[in-house]
Amino acid sequence: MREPRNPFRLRASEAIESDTTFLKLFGPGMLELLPSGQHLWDKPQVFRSAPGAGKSSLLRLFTPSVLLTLHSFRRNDDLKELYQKMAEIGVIGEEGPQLLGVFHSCARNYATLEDLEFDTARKERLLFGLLNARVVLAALRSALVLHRLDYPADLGRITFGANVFEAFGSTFSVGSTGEDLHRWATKLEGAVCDAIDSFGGSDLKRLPGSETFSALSLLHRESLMIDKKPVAERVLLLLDDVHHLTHRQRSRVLKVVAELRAGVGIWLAERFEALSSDEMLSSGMSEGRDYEGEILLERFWREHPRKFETLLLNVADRRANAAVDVEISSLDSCLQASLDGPEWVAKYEAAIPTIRSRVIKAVGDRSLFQAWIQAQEDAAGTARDRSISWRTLEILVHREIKREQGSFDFPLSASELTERSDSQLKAAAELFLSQEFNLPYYFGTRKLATLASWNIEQFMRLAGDEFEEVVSSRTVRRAATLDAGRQDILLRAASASFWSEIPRRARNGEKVLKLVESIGRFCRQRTYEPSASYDPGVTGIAISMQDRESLQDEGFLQRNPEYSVLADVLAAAIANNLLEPRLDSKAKGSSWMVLNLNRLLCVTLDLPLGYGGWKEQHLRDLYVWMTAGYKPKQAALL
Amino acid sequence: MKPVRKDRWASYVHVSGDGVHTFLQEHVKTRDGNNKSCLIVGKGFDPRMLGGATALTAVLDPRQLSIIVLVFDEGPTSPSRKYDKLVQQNIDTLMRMVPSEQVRERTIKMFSSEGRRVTSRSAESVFRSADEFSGFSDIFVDVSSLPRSVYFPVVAKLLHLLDGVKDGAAPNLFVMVSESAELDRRIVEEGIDEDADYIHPFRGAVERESAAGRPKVWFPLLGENQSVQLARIYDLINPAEICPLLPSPSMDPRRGDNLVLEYRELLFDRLRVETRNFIYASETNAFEAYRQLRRAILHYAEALEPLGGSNAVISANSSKLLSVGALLAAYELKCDGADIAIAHIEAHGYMLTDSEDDLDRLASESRLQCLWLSGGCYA
Repeated sequence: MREPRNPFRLRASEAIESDTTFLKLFGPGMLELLPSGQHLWDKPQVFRSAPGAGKSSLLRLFTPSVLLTLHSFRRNDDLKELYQKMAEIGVIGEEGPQLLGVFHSCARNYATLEDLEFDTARKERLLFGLLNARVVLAALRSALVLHRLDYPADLGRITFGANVFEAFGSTFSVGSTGEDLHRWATKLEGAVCDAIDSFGGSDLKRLPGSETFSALSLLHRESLMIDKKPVAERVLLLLDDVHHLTHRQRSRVLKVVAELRAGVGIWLAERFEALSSDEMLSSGMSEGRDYEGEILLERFWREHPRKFETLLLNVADRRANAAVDVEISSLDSCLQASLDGPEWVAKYEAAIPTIRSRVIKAVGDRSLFQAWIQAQEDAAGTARDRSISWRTLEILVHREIKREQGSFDFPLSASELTERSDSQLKAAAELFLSQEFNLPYYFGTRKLATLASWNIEQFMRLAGDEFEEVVSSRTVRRAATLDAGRQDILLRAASASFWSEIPRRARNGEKVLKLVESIGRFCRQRTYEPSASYDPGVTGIAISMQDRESLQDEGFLQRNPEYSVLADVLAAAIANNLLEPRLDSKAKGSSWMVLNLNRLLCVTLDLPLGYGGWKEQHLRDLYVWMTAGYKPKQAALL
Repeated sequence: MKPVRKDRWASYVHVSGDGVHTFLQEHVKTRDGNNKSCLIVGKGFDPRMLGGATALTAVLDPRQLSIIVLVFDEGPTSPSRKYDKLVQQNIDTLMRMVPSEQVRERTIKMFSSEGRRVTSRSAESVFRSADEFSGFSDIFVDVSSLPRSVYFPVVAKLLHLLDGVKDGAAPNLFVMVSESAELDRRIVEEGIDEDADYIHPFRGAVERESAAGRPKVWFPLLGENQSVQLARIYDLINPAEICPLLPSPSMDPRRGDNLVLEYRELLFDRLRVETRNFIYASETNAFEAYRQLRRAILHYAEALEPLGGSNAVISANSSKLLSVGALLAAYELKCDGADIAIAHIEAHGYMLTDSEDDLDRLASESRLQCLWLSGGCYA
């Protein structure tokens, strides 16, 4: 395959075939997700997220060929930091990798077993039989790779601890080698797969199976040996794509894993979609809950936004560096980050008289605001600062007029203006200004990182669009800096495309779109109130925790089937990261489940990117939004 | 891989347009007057589901034609449910073509009780024995209103059952498809599944841990508006090599170029496909697609033999006609013992992008194709 022209466009990192490229593009910040301590290696860990959050990349990092490559290039500047972090958690050292990572994806034909015309017990035996065979094959191959031996030629050098023979019962005799296990596993896998894939599947009844997940016995230090020495200090099973198992298979596997004795390392990665609507609605960030052993990626990054931003910028720089046609060391250096440059002065200067005249008109003959207007007339600063201040003043004037009734007409002082012009209000003013005077709002690396909505793939897509322009500019020998206006245009196009994909991407796509669109329109309506009551804006809604419990209550859903559809649609929106859930937010003396819009959706709606503003809703309103759409009671400001 | 026999469809019978009527007339003349035909169609809102029935009733006594309607329920929330009225209209028309007792329905389960896709396995088991067709001299499968996840396993199973008939009295098997680029453009998939999967019984060896070391070679048949589907199929396969098949030559001479433009970012920037890997097959000839795919797959298998062989995966996000070619290649290679898989992604349902008013007119302008897949002419 060819070298990448735009490395941001490379598909998910598990699809990057070269381990060196994979490592160079891997952001060491991902390791922040891992909890510290011994639990990582001797207790099962479940990684859960929407697609594209980086689970598979994280798992791949611990596979033998990647660890060997990391060790070989440990002094390389690009990989030093990653090596250091991996060494700190005891995975690698000067002498080489200390861990045998056995990677296995469940995105195979396991679910098909459930469709066979057997009783449940027989299906379970087949499931464990196939799992055992595949994990054994993966472990044998990984062990040889870790020791740079030939697969399958060197299988005879692999021997096993007594616990392995114990776990597999009479299948093997003590003294069996890797060759024996390999032969058994290949035969078993072949027999099951041939039967599943045959026309009619008539000979399925004679297929071999296993009572339990015996292959987990390989996960002990003394279980797997090469030339009579343990293969590695630690053995870790990396089970990816667990959501591809059926509900029954998944819960059976999770049960077996949960019952494991301490000392067995197993990581499971799955998408939110593995969860039922009920479980999905429980998946938001909740205060005070014990999530030991369960790592929700989006939740973690939401709790540590700076770490996420650092990770993204690091990944972006690594990708920019890897481009072959241009020499760019950092994406940040290519993106204009402010509107303070001379090219924007005229636009801001032109806005001031318009806003000023609107303010004067709104004030009319009220003496109340004279000091405020005078203070603003006298204000110094850049054209941008002054126009934002004027727009801030306009919002404050609207607020005062709105609550004028019943208040005394004491003149407001200039110091009150300063006091009330807080950063939230200024942010709303800047947003209003950008909309009214066609100024770019979505630009710069920080906003780009926020627009990722805690999803690395989403970030890559946006950064890829911007980097494409940078590469093209270089090709035609133009400056490789992308101005704020162009960034804004590109991000708006990406947002529009993201919206248009909803019906095609999500289950119940039309309903999901209608609901999310309604939430968006509602947020926009509330954000663009003249008095900016919810400054800097509303970007989400909330349902009470009690309503959320109703949506999880089977009895309630049976009595109210329309809410059953709503529960499924909300679950689909959350699973696809269109809505970001946060549980137990406190307001107005109650607890709420906040559902924020994915930040990329906010762009088309001209909404701010902060997470502060949300407004509570009843289930019946959401149902109407989902079916008939949101209809505003009054016209929006813009 | 076992030694591969001579390509089965090197010589073939393929008629289209007005030629279908003449061909069917001639074909009916050659058979015993008591023989009957069986037509298998899908129950759908696309008026092209009637194309095969209309052509057959024009040359056959309606009493000699039995119709099996394959019913696949996409679920209560499927966008296709909007067109239930059109579906009923199509069924009513069909019922008027032949005596009603000669129309039977067979149901294909699309979802398991827990909402998992089971379409292709269920479709494969719709017909269990060649005895079900005793008394029929010809079986026609009109795939015009059938999704790939249904007609791939159904046609493959019929080929398998008929190939197993030892006494030489197996019925002829034909596939019919009404092609209309305009109708194809109007009917779009909606609510594409999160993940692609392999169509039963074409899982090949790609999922086997024991074959994990073998390079995977992906042969996607390209059609318009399939970028989400292609990206998800790619995620499923994660191939080492990609050989896209372009419909060229085509009625619109720029179609191949337009497809390359449409998928430029996906193919070249994200997946880094080599331009020399492209395969070309005429958009109106399923058998050419079959030949090209078969040749390319065998070539890769041979070239990669020193590395333990290869795992070939086909996906057919193209016209139905070309996808039949993909099915033939996969079926023949599977019979020969090759590890061949067909990847596919399903949608929650289908939507019309424009008004439904002139569907009948568009359907009447579509071009009927008839492919003779097994039976007398290959004896």
